[in-house]
Amino acid sequence: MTKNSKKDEDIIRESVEYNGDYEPLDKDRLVLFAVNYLESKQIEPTFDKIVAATFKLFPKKFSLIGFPEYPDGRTIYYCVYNHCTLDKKWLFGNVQSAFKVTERGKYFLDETRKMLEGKIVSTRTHLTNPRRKETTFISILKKTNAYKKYLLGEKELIDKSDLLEALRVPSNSKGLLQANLTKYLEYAQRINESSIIKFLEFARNKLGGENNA
Amino acid sequence: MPEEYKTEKGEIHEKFWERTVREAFKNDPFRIIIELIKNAADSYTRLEKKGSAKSPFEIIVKFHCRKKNPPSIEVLDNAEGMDSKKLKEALKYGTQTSTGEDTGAITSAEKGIGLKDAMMALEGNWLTTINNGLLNERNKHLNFDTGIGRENVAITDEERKKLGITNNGTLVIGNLPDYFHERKFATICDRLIQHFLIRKLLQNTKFKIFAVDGDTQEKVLLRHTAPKIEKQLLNETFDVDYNRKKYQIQLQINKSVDVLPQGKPFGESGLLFFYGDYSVVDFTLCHFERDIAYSKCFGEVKMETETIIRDPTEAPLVDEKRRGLDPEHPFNRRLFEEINYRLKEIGEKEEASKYSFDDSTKKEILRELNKIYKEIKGTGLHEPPIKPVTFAFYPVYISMKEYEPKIVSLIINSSIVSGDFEIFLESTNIDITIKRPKSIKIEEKPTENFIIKQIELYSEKAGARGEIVATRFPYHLDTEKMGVEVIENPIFSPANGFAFVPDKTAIVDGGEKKVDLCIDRMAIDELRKIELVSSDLINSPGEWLLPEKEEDLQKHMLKNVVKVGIPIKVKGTDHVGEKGNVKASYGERGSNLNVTVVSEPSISGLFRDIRPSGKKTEKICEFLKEEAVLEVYYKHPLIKKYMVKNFNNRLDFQTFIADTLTREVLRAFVTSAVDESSSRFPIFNMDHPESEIEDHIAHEYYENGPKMHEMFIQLARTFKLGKE
Repeated sequence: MTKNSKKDEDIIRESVEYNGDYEPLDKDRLVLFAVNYLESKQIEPTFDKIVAATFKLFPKKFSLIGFPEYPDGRTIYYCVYNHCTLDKKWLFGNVQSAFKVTERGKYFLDETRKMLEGKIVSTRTHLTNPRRKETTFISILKKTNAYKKYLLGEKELIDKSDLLEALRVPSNSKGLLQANLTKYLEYAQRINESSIIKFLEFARNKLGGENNA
Repeated sequence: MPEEYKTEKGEIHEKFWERTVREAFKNDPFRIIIELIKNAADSYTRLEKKGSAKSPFEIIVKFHCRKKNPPSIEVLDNAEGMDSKKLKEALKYGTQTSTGEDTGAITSAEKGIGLKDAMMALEGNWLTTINNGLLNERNKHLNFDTGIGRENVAITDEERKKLGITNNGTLVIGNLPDYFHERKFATICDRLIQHFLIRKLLQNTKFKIFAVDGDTQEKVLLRHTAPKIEKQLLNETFDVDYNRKKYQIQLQINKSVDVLPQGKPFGESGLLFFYGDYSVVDFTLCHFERDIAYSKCFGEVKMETETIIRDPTEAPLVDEKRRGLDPEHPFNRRLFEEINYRLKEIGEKEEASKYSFDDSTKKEILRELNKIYKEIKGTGLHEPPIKPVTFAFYPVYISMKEYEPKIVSLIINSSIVSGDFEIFLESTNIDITIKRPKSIKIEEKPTENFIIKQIELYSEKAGARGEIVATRFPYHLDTEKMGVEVIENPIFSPANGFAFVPDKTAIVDGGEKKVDLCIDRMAIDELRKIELVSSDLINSPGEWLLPEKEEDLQKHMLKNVVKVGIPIKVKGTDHVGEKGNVKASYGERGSNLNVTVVSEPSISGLFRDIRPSGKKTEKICEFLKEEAVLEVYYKHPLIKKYMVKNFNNRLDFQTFIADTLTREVLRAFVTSAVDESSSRFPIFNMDHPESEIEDHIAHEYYENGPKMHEMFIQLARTFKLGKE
């Protein structure tokens, strides 16, 4: 039994990243694919093996923010149990009992394979980064008036108060400006948001210029 | 009766009086009395402005009524009185004198009818006035001559008592002319109360105007009561620009509870034009005078126009015969324009609210219309959820309830479509049927990249599982499949054989709906009565009777269950978030339905409302794209033609409305879809698409017309007069 388990782990360790464009697919489908991958290798899909296999096959979709070498176990848990098992019923099982692809799941697995092979294209787009602090606050920043004006090329219409509001700096505590700017830049770099990085640089110049003036 | 000692020659030929003033009085003889009353009131107002008197101010009008002849009158006040000099001025023609309540206003007597004219209208008239202890008596002859009685005579207490003038004051007496037709005291009082010229004065609490029956000494306080208001329609202050000055106008318009009599001088439906506190100059609804649609409209127009009245170079605002505001005067023209505009808006709004469609039927239809539009328009610019290289089902697996049809889609990539392209559909389980279509044939090369075909599935067997397989013929044998499972429909297993399914529901605030009460046939015995009790929030019938005959009961049956739709309704509005319940019991069995009141979901899509409108247009109905509203113009002669007794139950009315709406809706569908570049409606000649659009509309009329007719016939049945 111990020997078999070890063999399973070795197989998973030796798995390589899926050779194809998997980033447009939603994470639930990729987890379903990974569970089936384990089943096809005669490996019992226990939770830890699912986490490892999913990460090995699809590292760009299931790594931690800022730590691309580590799997995002939390996200995989939500996909495997909350979504694929409880909501969509593609899988049957739980963390204590391991998981199994259902009859219903087989149809979606088949569809997922076709998507991975490019035979079917999903027109919906899905997030790659998990919903963490970085993505949450960068997403809020994108909805601010200052950023919207910036995107529309209306830089001259962006005033100081717009920028302070976007960077969550209260008008009476300007000391926060530098700290918040640095934090936002760090978040944007971590999740690779190039347009936000440019916007933050613009904000730094504008606010710095006005402060000097 | 005073005695005339000498006569002063009049300044104007009597023909002038006959041509203007007499004619005005003839049309409205109550003016004679009103002029005398107003003259007294103005005198009190001048005293008050000087600070020499305080309200209430009493004016006595005594009538001596006779059966065969017009009554004689006495109009008495205890106001300023006049000395001989002022009296001479007041009775002279063409002299400038202060008139009305506006003491600052100096205007020529030529501009209106005044004291002397009223006196001339009275046969045997005499004016007796006391000022500073001196008495003067005058009369006016029909040829404008002034008869002079006693002049500047010291008054005795006895005479004061006899005249009823304690200090200063005036008494005018005389017989009303033969064109004054009223003979009864009560009728005269009623008429006076209703007369528009005195209405503001009678509403003014400063004045107490009494009518006294000279024979019985009955004393009646004259008061005008405004009609009962249902709602205020407008209360607005605006300016009228005239001669580079702005004149403020306060306009108040109300809607009465009852229909009001129209027209001058006794009507109540109209606008009272006045200045100062009580100086009425007209009573009219401008352009809408005597329009039945405005028969509940009444109100006031307070005009801050004293400067125009004071200006001696200005033409009078009131016409020569004092019938009302001179419509030719440029100021009045502008004023009427402003008021007409506001009345028109009010009229349209009120007319629109006069008729209505049943709200829930309308909303159901709007949702259905928007759904049809979506189907007609097709995907247009929108993308299908998936883009297969060949074809694929979407979704790839479904759970469906027994006895309930379910729609799935087959998405086909147009690149694989050739001349004899066909996809056959089959089910691997005979208990799961494909209702439509059995095969998909596409004969013409589609213009869009992907085609979405809807497939309707049906099953009556819970637990059945199977696949729907799509196979492309003839040269390929590609297959695509989707999984289907049939699950139990909860309506067939009501708890305890008698239950609301589902046992909780949401209902729109102020709305109504039907809820399903399911009864196992085996549970039904001879008892036919279902008792219903609802909480305070909800209205439901108290009981529901099942059909007596088995064949009638069968009509409500589905499989083993009798399904009854129980109507429930929220009592009133503003209950969002509140919860209630309905309890049903049948013999010993019972079921409880939990009801939550929710806010109304907004209707989105091409159509958001269908509303009747009182606008007079050439069209019978029109889709207003910007408002997303379909308006039905019920004043159009072709609709009016059908709007006879019980019209909403008449097939000719229903058919006419249904057909008209169907055509307009389909026109809106096609033109909007073309605007949105829907590939469903290809246009060959983009520069002149009109005829092609007409062709598309005709095509849609044959395709979707019958379905829409049915919907709009339902709607037409609910077209009714509102609260009016």
